[in-house]
Amino acid sequence: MAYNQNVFSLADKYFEDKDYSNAVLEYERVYFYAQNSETQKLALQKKALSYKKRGKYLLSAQTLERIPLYAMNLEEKDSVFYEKLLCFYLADDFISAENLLKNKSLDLEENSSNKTLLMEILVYNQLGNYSKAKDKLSEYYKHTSYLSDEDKSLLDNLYQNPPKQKKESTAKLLSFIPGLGHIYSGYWFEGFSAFVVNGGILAFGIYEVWKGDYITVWVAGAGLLSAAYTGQQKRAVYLSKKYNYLKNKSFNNEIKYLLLPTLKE
Amino acid sequence: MRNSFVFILFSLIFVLCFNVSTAQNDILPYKDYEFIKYLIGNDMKEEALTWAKRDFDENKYEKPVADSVFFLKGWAFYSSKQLSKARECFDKVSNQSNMKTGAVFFSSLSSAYLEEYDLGVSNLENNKALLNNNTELYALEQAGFSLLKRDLKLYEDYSKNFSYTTYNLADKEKNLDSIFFSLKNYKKKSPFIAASLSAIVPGLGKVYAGQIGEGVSAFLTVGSFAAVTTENWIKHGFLNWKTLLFGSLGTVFYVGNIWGSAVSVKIGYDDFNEKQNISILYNIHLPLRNSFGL
Repeated sequence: MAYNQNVFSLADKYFEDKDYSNAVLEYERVYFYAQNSETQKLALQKKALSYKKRGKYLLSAQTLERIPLYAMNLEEKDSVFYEKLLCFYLADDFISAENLLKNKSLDLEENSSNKTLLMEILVYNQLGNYSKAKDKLSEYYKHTSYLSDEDKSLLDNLYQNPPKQKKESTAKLLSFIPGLGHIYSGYWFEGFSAFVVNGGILAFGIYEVWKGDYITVWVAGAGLLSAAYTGQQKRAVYLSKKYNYLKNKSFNNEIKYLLLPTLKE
Repeated sequence: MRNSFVFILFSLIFVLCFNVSTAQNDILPYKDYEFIKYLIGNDMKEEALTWAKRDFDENKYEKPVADSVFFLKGWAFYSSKQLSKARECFDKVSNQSNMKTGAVFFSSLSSAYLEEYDLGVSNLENNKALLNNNTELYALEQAGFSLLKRDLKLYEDYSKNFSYTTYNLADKEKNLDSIFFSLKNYKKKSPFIAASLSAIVPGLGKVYAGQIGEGVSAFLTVGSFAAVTTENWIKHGFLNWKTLLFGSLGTVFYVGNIWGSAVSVKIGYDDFNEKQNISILYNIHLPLRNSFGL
């Protein structure tokens, strides 16, 4: 071991006492005064863990980003990669998680540990990239003996019918007829209501034209209709997003329910 | 005799162990200056704040060491916008310290951010003798306080000490002069006139208050309701439901616009003052950061 354990004693003491704020500070101090890169690396890893214990996942990931990977062996690189991915996942920062996955080096890609593969499946699921998640699952099967054939069959069935995404552009296009975008996203009652409201305003406008009250038509009819019409278009787009979110969440929870127990392995 | 010796020996060991354990949790001032500089410089405010919140028994250390700790603590709190605590720490730096000048200026600046202008000014005045080597900077800070207090006469007195040539200060002096002229030439508008204008022509009060877009929008809204109400009144009579509905809505918008115009004058005035204050604080902060910051 190329580092002096004594330099960590105070920081480790704070960590053991669950005083993570002071542990974070002391690990940074160890990093600052460290004589070699091994000590610096360990200090940053421990600092990241302290942040994680405090629930500050993004800060934890940012701390791990400071660790230079070039001097590490594959196992260490994989461990740091896993921790970063986990922290981005826990912080709900899926954009950063996706960037991390995109920039994964080839040697890591070919030698991922089980826990890293598992995290990748969860992140790809969260991103709605089910084909990639399925690929990773196939890879995971090769490495794990913990999953029963029954669980594998359940997982395969789930991935055969992943949640179909509702396109925001389609929802917007369909809402040309008020309410149709809502119905497309599965919200029938809201769609019907939007149709009635917009139709009612249009009927009022036509009635006013027939009576010759042109200013009333212009201000009340056109003004109200324009507000209600654009409003229902925005709502249709929002509902398509909500539909996708709920469907993905339900699907991902089922996958998590089957996969997470394998972490015990 | 032998028992007493053993007892004393064990007592000493116990006391030493206790001291070691206390020292480990202490602020370690001898080593910390560069480390805290590094934390603040790398935007690790949370870590710096954790350090600054630790107990520090100044009596255990030589004065220069205690001074450096108080200055660093002040900086850590200042960086995290905990200004009262920052001021408290800066004020504890002793007069003999070479950090005193910076501490005085930053303590005053903390008061300025806390809008406790009199406290900031008195702190500068009480320590004027210590700031002899920084007379122009002293004048700049005092001039800044004069502007914050809107004492334009006093600003003119302090600005006489501006050379407009000193590196690090020249730009800030010109900026403060520009703020001075903005404040001097600012014509305060009357909420009463704004309300009256909007009563005559809806939206005109907002235009007077400087919000042209909102004025036009108010004119179109109230005007549209007026037009619809008039149409329905002429064609269907006063008691027709549409006349009453659009008339009531139009009245609400009309009265609301009058009230809004009066309020927008005050909001406009407050906005102007806030912008000027931000600009003043920026211009008195930067030279201090460049001269005494970590």
